[in-house]
Amino acid sequence: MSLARYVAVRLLLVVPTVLILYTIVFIVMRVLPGDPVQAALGVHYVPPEELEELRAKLGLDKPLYVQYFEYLAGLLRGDLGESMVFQGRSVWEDIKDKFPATLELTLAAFTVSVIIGFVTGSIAAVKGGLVDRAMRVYGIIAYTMFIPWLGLMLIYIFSVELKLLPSGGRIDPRFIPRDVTGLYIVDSIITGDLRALASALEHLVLPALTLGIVLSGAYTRIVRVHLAEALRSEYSIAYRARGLRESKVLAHALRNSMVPVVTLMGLQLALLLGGAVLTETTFSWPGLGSFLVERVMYRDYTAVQGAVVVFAVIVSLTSIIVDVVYALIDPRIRY
Amino acid sequence: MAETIISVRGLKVYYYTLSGVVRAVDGVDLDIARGEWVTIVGESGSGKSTLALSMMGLVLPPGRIVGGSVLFDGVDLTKLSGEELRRLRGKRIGVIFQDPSAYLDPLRTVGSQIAEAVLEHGVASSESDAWRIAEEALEIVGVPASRARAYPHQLSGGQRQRVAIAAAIALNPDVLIADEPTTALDVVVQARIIELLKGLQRRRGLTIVMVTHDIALAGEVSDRIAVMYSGRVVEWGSAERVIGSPLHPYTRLLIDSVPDLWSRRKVRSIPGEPPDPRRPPSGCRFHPRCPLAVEECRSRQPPRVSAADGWAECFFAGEAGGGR
Ligand SMILES: Nc1ncnc2c1ncn2[C@@H]1O[C@H](COP(=O)(O)OP(=O)(O)OP(=O)(O)O)[C@@H](O)[C@H]1O
Ligand SMILES: [Mg+2]
Repeated sequence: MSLARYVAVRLLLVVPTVLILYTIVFIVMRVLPGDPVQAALGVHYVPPEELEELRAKLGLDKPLYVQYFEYLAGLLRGDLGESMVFQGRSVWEDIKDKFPATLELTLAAFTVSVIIGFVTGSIAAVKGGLVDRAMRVYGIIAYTMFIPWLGLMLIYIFSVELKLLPSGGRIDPRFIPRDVTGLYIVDSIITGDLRALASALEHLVLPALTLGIVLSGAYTRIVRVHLAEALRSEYSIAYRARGLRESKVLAHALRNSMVPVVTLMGLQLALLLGGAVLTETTFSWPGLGSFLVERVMYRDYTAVQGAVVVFAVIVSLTSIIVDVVYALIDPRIRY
Repeated sequence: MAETIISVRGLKVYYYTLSGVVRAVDGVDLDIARGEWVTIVGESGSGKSTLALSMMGLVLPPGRIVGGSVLFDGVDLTKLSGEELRRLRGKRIGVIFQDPSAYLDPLRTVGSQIAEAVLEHGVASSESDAWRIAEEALEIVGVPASRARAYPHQLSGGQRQRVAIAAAIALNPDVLIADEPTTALDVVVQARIIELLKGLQRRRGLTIVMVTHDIALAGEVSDRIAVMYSGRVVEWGSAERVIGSPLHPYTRLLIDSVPDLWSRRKVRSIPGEPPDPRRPPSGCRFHPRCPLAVEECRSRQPPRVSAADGWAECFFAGEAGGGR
């Protein structure tokens, strides 16, 4: 099968994946106690007739299967519906607003995790001995770290004690750069807005570090194992026997250990987004994660369903990209 | 005899493993002449690969050269720095291994792997120059230059071994070390690879040090043969004489264990097991399996008994018929 056909098949498979996730989240939201009307009104007393009226307006009086298929029909037309709590707000517009913040955070955290993972893993594989053990311990600790706990520790050290970095938010509202891509770092560079760049960076450091460190543990481990193996492998011996400099042998070994690392990147993707939800709430980062948590609180059925569907599509598409990268690195791979 | 290119003196290479010190090479002396084909034969684990690779200063961890010297063209490899060794490897001494698939980088085209080494040794002035040299090397070993852009997995086993040979000889080295170069290949391909190596030896005056456990093959192709047993070379001499009238009982048993298609007699395998290289037997290391062993063999290291073309380490080597 050619790569193009493989990608086409994978794209088709996105549909059932999304369908399954939509079904699960539909059921979970209905099983949770409360509904959008109650959540919005809170403790205020409202006569039962009025409650029924509000519910009917949102379509909540219809049988569940009707609600399920009506929303699904909307999805198929690319319509994520309207918020059930904030009247008149389109779910798609809200998600579009929040998405760049999440993208910025996950890209930064991903970069941090890969860099830390490669540096610690390579040092461990090349040096061996005590250094290797220290790096392995780092990998285990990082991997098992709980995001909100690490986030709060970093906030305590760098914001509360040292007063070096802000403890939350995405940027100082006075410096929001002109909107081009929605990614503050990119936009402030494009528009040459240095104040915005500084503010965006300083807000990004701690959340990106928190999520990046936790995700780096797995990379440390996998880079260490596979690089050490590659450095001991026969082709590395052959390279040395041909008089290649050790730095070049290392470069080729690294490239060979990239194959399992890219596999891990694909596997980590869901973790990256899941971790982003926790990180965003810890740092009041105004992204999709915070949005999702907030709307779950409000039992905003349509918004939560829409956000989960968007998450599912993102994960599916990115994992297809990972597979393509995989095929580009390793000439032996044929789909 | 021609000029000596490799001279091994009292060489000891030990592996320091968790379960003990493996004396893989334990006191070996050999002189290899320029342009000849020397084959090291012996059972598995006798130290053939370790000895052959140490001739290019290549000792894999946890191994170490713990004694003796390896003179390559008058230079003691055991005294060279890593960088000095690096400049020698690939340029003046090449090596090929048993499994050509494993020893090629699966992610890179074969041409780029050859060209890279050419560039590294400063022989080519540019990348295209290095690529041209790589293609020439491929042509020499009988692989079309167009295959330079192929990845290892796109080639057959025989072609891969040819590519490995091309990489080893691209810079026209003095010596080629071949560690069981044909063991992983089928018989027909085997013969072609041997033919190719023979041609290189003749045309380029290449010195070949081959490792094999196939003494019949050794007898056919080599000028001289070194028979290894438990870390020591127990017999050394011209291929003709070693096969025709072996001096050491171990060599005789090795020859007798070769299956014979014509006479259909039963193959006699050598009785007993090779010794544990961490605790070699006292005296002559072969004595527990030797049909001729006497008390003296257990207690004393046998002397090196000279023949016209070499020697054997056996108390009975001096007697007519060589240990029969
Ligand atoms: N990297 C290593 N670590 C530990 N021990 C080793 C290592 N390489 C070889 N040895 C040991 O050294 C001894 C000699 O090994 P060597 O590979 O030189 O033998 P060989 O004659 O080439 O055997 P074979 O025919 O199986 O290739 C063996 O006992 C082997 O177990
Ligand atoms: Mg061997």
